[in-house]
Amino acid sequence: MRFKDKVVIITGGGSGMGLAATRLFAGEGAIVAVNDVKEATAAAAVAEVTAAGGRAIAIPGDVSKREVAESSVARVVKEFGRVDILLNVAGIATIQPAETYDAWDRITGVDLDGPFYWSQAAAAQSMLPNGSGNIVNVSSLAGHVAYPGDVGYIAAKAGVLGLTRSLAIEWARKGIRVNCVSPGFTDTQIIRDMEAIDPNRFAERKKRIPMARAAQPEEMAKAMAFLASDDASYITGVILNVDGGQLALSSGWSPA
Amino acid sequence: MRFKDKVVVITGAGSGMGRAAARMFAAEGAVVAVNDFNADTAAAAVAEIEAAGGRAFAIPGDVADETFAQSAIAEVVQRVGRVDILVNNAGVSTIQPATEYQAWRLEMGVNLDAPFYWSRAAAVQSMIPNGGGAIVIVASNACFAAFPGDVGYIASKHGAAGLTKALAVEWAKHNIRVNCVAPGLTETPMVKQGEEKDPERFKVRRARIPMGRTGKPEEQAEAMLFLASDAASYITGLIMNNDGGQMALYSGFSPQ
Repeated sequence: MRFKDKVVIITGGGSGMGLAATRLFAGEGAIVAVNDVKEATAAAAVAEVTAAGGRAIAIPGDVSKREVAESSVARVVKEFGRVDILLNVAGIATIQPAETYDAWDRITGVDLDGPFYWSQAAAAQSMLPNGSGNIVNVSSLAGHVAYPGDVGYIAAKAGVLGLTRSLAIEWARKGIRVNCVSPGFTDTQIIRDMEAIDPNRFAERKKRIPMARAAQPEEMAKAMAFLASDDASYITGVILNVDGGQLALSSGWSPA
Repeated sequence: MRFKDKVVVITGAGSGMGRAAARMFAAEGAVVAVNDFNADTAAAAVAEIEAAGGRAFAIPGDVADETFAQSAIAEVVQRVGRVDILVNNAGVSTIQPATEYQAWRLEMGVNLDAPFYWSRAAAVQSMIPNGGGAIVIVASNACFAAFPGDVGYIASKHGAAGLTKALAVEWAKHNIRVNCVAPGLTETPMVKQGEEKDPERFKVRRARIPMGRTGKPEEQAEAMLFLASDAASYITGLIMNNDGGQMALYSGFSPQ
């Protein structure tokens, strides 16, 4: 029970690794505020947590809108008194060539503006006045290296690494740790959606993972929980890749 | 009890963060083989663990001697059947300008050859035939960036990051995860020795840590335990800085 009575906000907490995090944190005693862009998805996650004897509320909305971030955090503070932990999990991707890319504002809005707006709101409304807090951003291998067909995602996820380091050093002496999980290929809806667009998109990629398998969403949630826990008390500004060894492998080579 | 009945070998476990790791693994149920260059400190670590109701035995000796690495691992396998986890923690540093540097072979031996020798011995004698294992290598902030006065340390610790990635990629197929903790300034005998040689050495540096404090050995050990645990089941080839935000800070600027 690492998170007994901790107040945790999870954006994108209704599906994939966000849902896995919702379950894990609630299972370890946290009160979880579940954001999702889809109201029904957030409500379903809350119902699941509640049925398992946990505590959660839904705070659905579009993470890329600053006013949603501010009002959602305000609601959580009003109901539970504070925000101890913020997990910026919500993310979207697409497949479009750079020259005709028209998803830039939407992708960078959700993947980069969102984590900033929510971090700023949680810090200003609760973590800075309380002198303590914990933020975990979710980037991607695409934050470190590029692949063809999603310039907005790659730029935004690389931006999340900078955002993590920037907030980590600005708020280190205010009791707020800011870290980042950088997932590799994970079995989530975002991947299944992209396979629906192009069934062969990941056939080659799966074979190039040194561990030779995709990750489960729970494996990402466990990394987030470690960073948000007191076990990580001296860790801030870290980019923690959870990728089955993919970033350790030179892109010009194949696993043994 | 994340490590009930796991066999854990820790080099340099007689003092500092290695000693903290030995204590903490044992407290979570592991049988710990305690290596240290100094037989007395290894024995003291074992006595401390046993007094607390844990299980440990000493395997003192020079980590940089490959013959010793092989015989030490053989002794562990003979006594307790296998090696589940290896923590390559032993390290040495000095203060010498590059032009007059005398410690090259010593530092490369302890900081870089040794993790390779011990990892290979543990993998060949136990982890590969058993179909799995976890290796943690302890590097340093010096695996990412340099400071004046210890070229051997910086080169060997950079090498340790490369070693981590190389072994992670080659042994992923054997279900052996290989990761690295990169500590920042931590309250260990090594840092105290550096301060005895040069009392001014870390004054400025302490002020440049974004969190405004040094790390505790236990905080470094927590990261080793996490990486060795099942919570990190998809993490391999990771270089994880544990440094109060230091590597997130641009070297040309100061924390606020």
